Amino acid sequence: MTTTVFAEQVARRVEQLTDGLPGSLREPAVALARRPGKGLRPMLVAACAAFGTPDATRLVRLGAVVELMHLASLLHDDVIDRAAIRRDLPAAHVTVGAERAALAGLACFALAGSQATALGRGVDKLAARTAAELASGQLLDTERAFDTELSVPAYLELAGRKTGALFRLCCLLGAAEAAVDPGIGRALGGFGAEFGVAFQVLDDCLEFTPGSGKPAGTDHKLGLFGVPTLYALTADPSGELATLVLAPEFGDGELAAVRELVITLGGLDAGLRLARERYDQALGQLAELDSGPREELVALAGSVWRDAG
Amino acid sequence: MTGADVLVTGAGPAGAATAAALAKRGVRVLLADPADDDTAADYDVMLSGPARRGLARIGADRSLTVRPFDVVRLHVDGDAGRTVTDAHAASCAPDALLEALRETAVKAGACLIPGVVADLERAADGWHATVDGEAVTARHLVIATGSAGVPVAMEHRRYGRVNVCRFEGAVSRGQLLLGLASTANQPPACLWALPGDGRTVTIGAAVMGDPAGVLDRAVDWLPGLTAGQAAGPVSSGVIDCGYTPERVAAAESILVGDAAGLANPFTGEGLSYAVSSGLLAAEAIVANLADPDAARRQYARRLATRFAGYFETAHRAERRYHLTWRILSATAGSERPFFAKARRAILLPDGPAVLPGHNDAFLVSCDEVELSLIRAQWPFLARMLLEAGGSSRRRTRPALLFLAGALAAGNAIEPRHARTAAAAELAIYGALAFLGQAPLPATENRGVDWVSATTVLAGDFLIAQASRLAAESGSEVSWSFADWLAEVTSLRAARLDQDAAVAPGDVFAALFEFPARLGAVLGGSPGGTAEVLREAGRHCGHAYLHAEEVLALRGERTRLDITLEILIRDRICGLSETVLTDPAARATALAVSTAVCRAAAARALEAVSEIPDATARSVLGEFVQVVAAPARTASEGPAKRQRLSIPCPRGRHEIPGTRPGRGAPGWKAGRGRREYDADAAGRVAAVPESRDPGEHARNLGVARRAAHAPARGPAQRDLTAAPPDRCGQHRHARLGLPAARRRRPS
Repeated sequence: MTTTVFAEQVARRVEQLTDGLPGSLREPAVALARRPGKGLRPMLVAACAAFGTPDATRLVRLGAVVELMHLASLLHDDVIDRAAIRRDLPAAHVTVGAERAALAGLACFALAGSQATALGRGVDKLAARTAAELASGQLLDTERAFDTELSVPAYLELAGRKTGALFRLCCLLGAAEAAVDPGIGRALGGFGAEFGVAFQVLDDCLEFTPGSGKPAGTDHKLGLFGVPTLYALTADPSGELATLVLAPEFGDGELAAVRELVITLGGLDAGLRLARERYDQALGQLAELDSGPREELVALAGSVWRDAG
Repeated sequence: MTGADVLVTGAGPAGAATAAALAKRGVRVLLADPADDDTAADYDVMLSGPARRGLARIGADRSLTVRPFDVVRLHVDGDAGRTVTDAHAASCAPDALLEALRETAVKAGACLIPGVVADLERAADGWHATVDGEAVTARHLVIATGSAGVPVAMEHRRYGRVNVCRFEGAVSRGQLLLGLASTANQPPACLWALPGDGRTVTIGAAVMGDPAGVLDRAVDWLPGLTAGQAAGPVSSGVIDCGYTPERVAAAESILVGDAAGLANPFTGEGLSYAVSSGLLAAEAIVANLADPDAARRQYARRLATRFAGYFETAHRAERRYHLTWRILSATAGSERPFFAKARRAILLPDGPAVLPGHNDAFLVSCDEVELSLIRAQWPFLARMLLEAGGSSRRRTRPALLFLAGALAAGNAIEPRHARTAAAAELAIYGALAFLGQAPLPATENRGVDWVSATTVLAGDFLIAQASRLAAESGSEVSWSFADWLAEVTSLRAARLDQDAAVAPGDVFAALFEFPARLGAVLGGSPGGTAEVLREAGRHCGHAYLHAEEVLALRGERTRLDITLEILIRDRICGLSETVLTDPAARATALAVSTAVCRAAAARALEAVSEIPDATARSVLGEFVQVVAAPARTASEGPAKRQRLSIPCPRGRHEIPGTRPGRGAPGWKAGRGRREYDADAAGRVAAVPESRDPGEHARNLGVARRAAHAPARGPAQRDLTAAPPDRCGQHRHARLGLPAARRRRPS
């Protein structure tokens, strides 16, 4: 089974599951499920499960669990961030209102929970612990608004919870499904956590790369500064950048000026370097593993990396 | 040499309250009064509701003249403000307060010795010290010396300052004006104008920094205040807000009041904490008179379940503290229950429940589980939680439903079930956070919209912690948690969509039946009993919502701190909008809501009467009475509770686990179920899914509505109906879930 076929199966299952949601919660969830992203998370589950001989049906169901958790957090993030656009269409809260969007997110989370429990073998526990990490990551991520003095280590801690935790869950679920030795499971979990952080840092850098497809400036407008900006702020004794990012009015002009200044101050380069460093560390976790499935996993990570970078 | 059971160092409010409470219980107390503050205070202090309750408990209120007030006007950054009622507060002169406390202590038999305590040393037979040169010895030592001279490491301290000054000619119209002020580059401040003897008010400010100059701007921050003339000097004091459980647990003696760092870092209020920590200390000492270390441990533990410090989050403490300010300030205009509750919890807390008899071991364990998950990450939520379970509201907390359920079959309650009860309770609070969401404002403004962000963040946080506890309680609980969450979201969505098939009370019925059912199943109740518990829980939910309507229609403070307008506008209740404008419609609605609330309570009590175990009947019977209390007419009053035929003994409920010889059945049942579980999970794993998952989910959605038909019989019969997947089937059968939902395919 190719990874594309697998990703499609997961996407279809998520769509079917969300299609069963009641009343006005169905539409926002299904609309998002019908426009799946790259399916990176389920593909991580499958790639890690390839270290053993997993059951194909269960694998699709596991993939659906992590996608549903991801959907839930997207729906809620958009309410928190007031993001108007999600996957090229109006965000759920724009079309159905904030409370329904939040409820749809909760319903997806509940769906993930019952699916996880139905899968048995402790999937529910792993998923619930990850949800707790995600929630505290979400809190850390929001409370830092307009903090120009946030340290890079503090930022990486929140990236670990907000993004790394779910990647780690994907890898652990795959490893558990493959019934690998505990050592291999730890290595795969460690890879997931690191890769998630690298992915988040790279994602921050994309805001500075024109044509990356990421809506420009959303995070800056919210006062949420990523790694390049945080680096640039430390490299800017004049305080010019800090004044700029804290400006009460923040439009396209301010965004362009921030971009230019962050690049000039070396923030983007430093961010890209850090992303690469964490990416290499993630791959380093896999060094001792069987070469066949390892190469598949590295190839998956690499393709994401190339697409993004 | 003078000997006693207890030496209390410091005769301020905390020390004197401790000594009074101890002396009243017949304990020999030495109360050392360093008399370091002999200048007559030229200002008034506020006695909050909980402070007054604490004083009343030791009888110190009898000789004290106070000026009570109920209304607080809260201004944020100088805005027009909002009224908070039900404060039950008062103002009084600080020297009068001290005198009343000391007099109460001395009359009860405490020995007040003037002088400074020195040469403190601990020996095998207790503490040795000198007070003004005279040798004293005591088995227990209580440190009540305020924020100075306390054996606490610097890193545990969080200092703030309070400045107060009496003003003449200023008017606050007999209410407390409370203002939050945030200014650029300055730490945020809290200001207040406390009504005095009619001619003067005391104006004060608390800052976690330097309050210099803040008082001068009081008129800007408190628009209800007319300018006056300072009628005395500015008095200034240090407060320590650095309470952490570790700080108190690590001390060799018992720290009370400011010495424990219990002051509120937002308002500077410390009196209520001084008094209630003193009472807690006295309780712990009386219970462990011969063993000072045991007393200390009990005190530290009890204190930790009643207070959450704001600086417990280690390196993120400052950030969380400022986040709370930000949320308070940004949501000042929101009357949503979550924020109304947050304002109360932070600025005007109801205070901890210190009444023995309402604190049985199981509920304390629930508190400990909940707080341990939350306090280190989000102290502000921990505070809200304590308030949600605090004082009078404590008697409607969901964990009581779980407790009643767990006792229903007459089995011993298992301590580990406190984690499951905590899961249900956190889940319910989490779900309530999502109830009603303001439309998002236009996105022109920069920054986070705290109104939407906070409710989602807090709701997610609580639900996630609940889900974790549920998953750790076993896959049955995990499954029913997910299923319940799906049901609650679907019911609420149906309400939003104005689906006539779902009654407004159905959301609350779902919230209340969950802990009751969960407790029943884990407590080993057979399916029929679990269904009875569930039924009782559902009716409680209906009664609760209608009691909210009754309170809101009367214009009283509701338990959710919700306004009538929001109840209606957010479609939380089913009242028509005309009640907002038409007094006749309002009067009719009040009569109807009252009657419906009573009817729901009567149905709940009917279900309660079918519970086999007497203790469970009594716990749940009392719960129903408290929930429906607002619907009792004035003539019935609390003394004439309609108890029907349910025995509701007063006082402490006996926990069957403590009865000899009753422990075995619960454990056996628990073990059996766990084995069964593993087996079920294994089999499910091997069976590929044969049905269309979409259909499964659709059935859930459609059938869920049907489950809310009041009939109990069919649901019970349907426990064996075949659900779409096997895993679900077993869990449904065992958890007494409404398999009826699944029976009706679309």
